[in-house]
Amino acid sequence: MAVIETQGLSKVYVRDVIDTEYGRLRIRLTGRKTVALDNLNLDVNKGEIFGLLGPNGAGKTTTIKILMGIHFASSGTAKIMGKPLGDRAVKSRIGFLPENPYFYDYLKGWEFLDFYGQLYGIDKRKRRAKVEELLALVGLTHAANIPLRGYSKGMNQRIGLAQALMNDPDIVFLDEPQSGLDPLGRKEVRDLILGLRKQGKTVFFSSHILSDAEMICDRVAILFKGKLRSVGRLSELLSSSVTEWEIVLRDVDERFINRWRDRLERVVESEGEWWLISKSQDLTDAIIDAATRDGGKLSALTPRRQSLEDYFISEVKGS
Amino acid sequence: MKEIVAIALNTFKEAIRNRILYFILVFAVILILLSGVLSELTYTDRGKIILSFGFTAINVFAAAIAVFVGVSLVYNELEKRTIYTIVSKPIGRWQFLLGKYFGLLLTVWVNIIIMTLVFLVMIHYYIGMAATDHGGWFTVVGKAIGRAAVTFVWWPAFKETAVIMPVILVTMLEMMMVTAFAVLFSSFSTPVLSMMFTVMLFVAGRLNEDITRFCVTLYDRALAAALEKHTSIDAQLSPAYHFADWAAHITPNLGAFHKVVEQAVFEQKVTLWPWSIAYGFLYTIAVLALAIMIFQRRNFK
Repeated sequence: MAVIETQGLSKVYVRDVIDTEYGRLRIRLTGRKTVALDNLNLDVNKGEIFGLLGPNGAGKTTTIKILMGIHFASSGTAKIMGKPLGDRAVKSRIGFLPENPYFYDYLKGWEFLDFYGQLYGIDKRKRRAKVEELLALVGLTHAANIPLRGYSKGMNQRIGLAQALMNDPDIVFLDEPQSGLDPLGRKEVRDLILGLRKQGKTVFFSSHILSDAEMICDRVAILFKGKLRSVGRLSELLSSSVTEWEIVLRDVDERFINRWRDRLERVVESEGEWWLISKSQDLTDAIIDAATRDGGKLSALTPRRQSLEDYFISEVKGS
Repeated sequence: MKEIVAIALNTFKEAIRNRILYFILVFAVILILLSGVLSELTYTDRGKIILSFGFTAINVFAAAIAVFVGVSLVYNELEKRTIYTIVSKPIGRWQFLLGKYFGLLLTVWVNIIIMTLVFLVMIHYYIGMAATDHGGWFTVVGKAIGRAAVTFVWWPAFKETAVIMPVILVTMLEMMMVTAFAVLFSSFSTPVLSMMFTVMLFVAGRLNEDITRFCVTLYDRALAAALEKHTSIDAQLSPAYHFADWAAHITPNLGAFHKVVEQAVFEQKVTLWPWSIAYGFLYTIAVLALAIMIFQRRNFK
C-alpha cells in the first residue's frame, strides 16, 4: 500500500519578479525560471525505507519541502496516507528532519523536545517520559540541560532526529540525515533508520551518500535536474547491470584456458584454481559448459554487479 | 489554542534573550527616572511634566521594543529555517503567526508593566519627598515601592496616581496595533524594511488626526471654489485631498489614544471611549488577518 504518492509533481521557481504599472508605463521584470522538479511520479510503500538520491540541485530537498508543506507545488498532486498535503491528522502521524537543521539555540535539549511535544498536543506527563526516552535513544541524556547553542553539529543532527520522533510517527521524512556526520555518526543514523523499519515505520529520506543508501534502502529513486531517472528495488535496478562474472574452475588444464583467454578480461591461476573474469553472460555459460564436459569443476560463480554509485553515475551521465 | 500558547511562550523566551530589549528597557528606565529630575527645572506644574514625560517615554519605548524585537521575529524563523520543522507539525500557519504575535505582545506588555512600575515608584517617591516630615530617604523609597504596588493593583488607591493605570491600559491597546504591524511586515519583508514600514505607520498613525484635519481644510477650500465657480465639488478636489483622504483612512488612528494622555495630564481624569477600544481591537484583527493571508500561501526560502 502506497503511503506517499506524487503525481506529476512540479516546482518552478521564478525569481526577482517586478510587475508594476504607472498609467501607460508598465515595468515588468520576470526573473529566471528554474525548474526544480519536473513531473515527479512516485509511490512509497508502507514500512519501507525509501531513498531519494541525486546530486546537489537534483530536486530532493524541493520534493521533501513540498511534501512537508514548506513550499507549494507549481503543478501536480501529492498525497500522504491517502490524504492531500497539509491534512492535520496526517501531520500528527509524520516526523520530519530538515537538511542542516538549525533549531532554537536558546532552548536546552529537553526544553526543545518538550516544545515540539506541545505542538503535537501531548500532555505534560507523557511529554516528560517521551523526552527522556528520545534523549536516551539518540544518546543525548548527558546534554539534556545544555542549550542547543552548545551542541556540536552531530549532536544537533541527533536532537533533530529526536524531535522528528516525538510523536511516534508512522512515516519519517529525513532530508540528508547523514550530512556532516562522521563515519560513527553515520552508522548511528543508519542503525536508527533500520530500527525504525523494524518498528514498522516508513522512512523516506534523501541523500547523496550512496554507500549508506545502498546499505539500508529497500527502494531508491534517482533524481537528476528535477527529473526522475529511475526508481525501484536496488536488486531490480542493479541486477540488469551485472558488469562481469567471476568464474572459479578446478581440474582444468592450461590448454583449456588458452582456448578462451583472448575473450576473457582476466585470467589468474592460484593454488590449482583458475580465476576467470568474463564480461558476457553467453561466454560465461559457454566456458562453464565446456569445462564441465572436459571433466573440470565449477568452484564458484559470482556475478559482479555495479555498485549503486556506479549505477548512479551511469544514470546521471546518461542524461 | 494550546499550540498558539506554546509558540507564544517560546517567542517570549526568544525575545527576552534579545539584548536589544534590555538596551531599550534600560534606556527607558533612565529616561523615566530623569523625568523627575527634569521636572525640577520647570516653573510649571511639576506633576504635569512628570506625567507627560513618563507616559511619552513608556509609549515610545514600548513601540521601540515592538519594532526592534518584532520585525526580526518571523524573519529569523524563515532565515534560520526553524520554521521548517514547525510547519511540518500538526499546526496551521495561522496558528504559528498568531503565536508569534501573542509572544511579541506579551514581551511588549511585560516591558510596559516594568516601565510602569518604575514610573509609579518614582512618582510616589517625589510625592513622599515633598512631605515635610517624610522620615528619611529609605522610608520614602520603601513607601514609594509599597504604594506603587498598591496603585498597580488598585488604580484609584491614591488620588495623584489614579490616572496612570488607565493610560497604561490604553498604551497596551495601542501597542497591540503596533505589534500587529510589526508582525505583518515581518511576515513578508526583511527586518530593515519592516522596521521602516512599522515606524512610518506608527508616526503616520500619530498624525492621523492632523491628516484628517488637513483633509477637512482641503475639502472646505474645494467646496468654496465649487460654490464660487458653480461647478461640482469633485472637479475642485485636488489630488492632495484624495491622497490625504486615502492616507487618513488606511493609517491607524493612534491619535485617539494620545487624547487619553492629554486628558490625564491636563484634566487629571481619563475617559475610556468604548469605540476607541473597539477600534483598536478591530484594526488589530484586520492587520493580523492580512498577515495570515500573506503568510498562508508563502513559499519559505
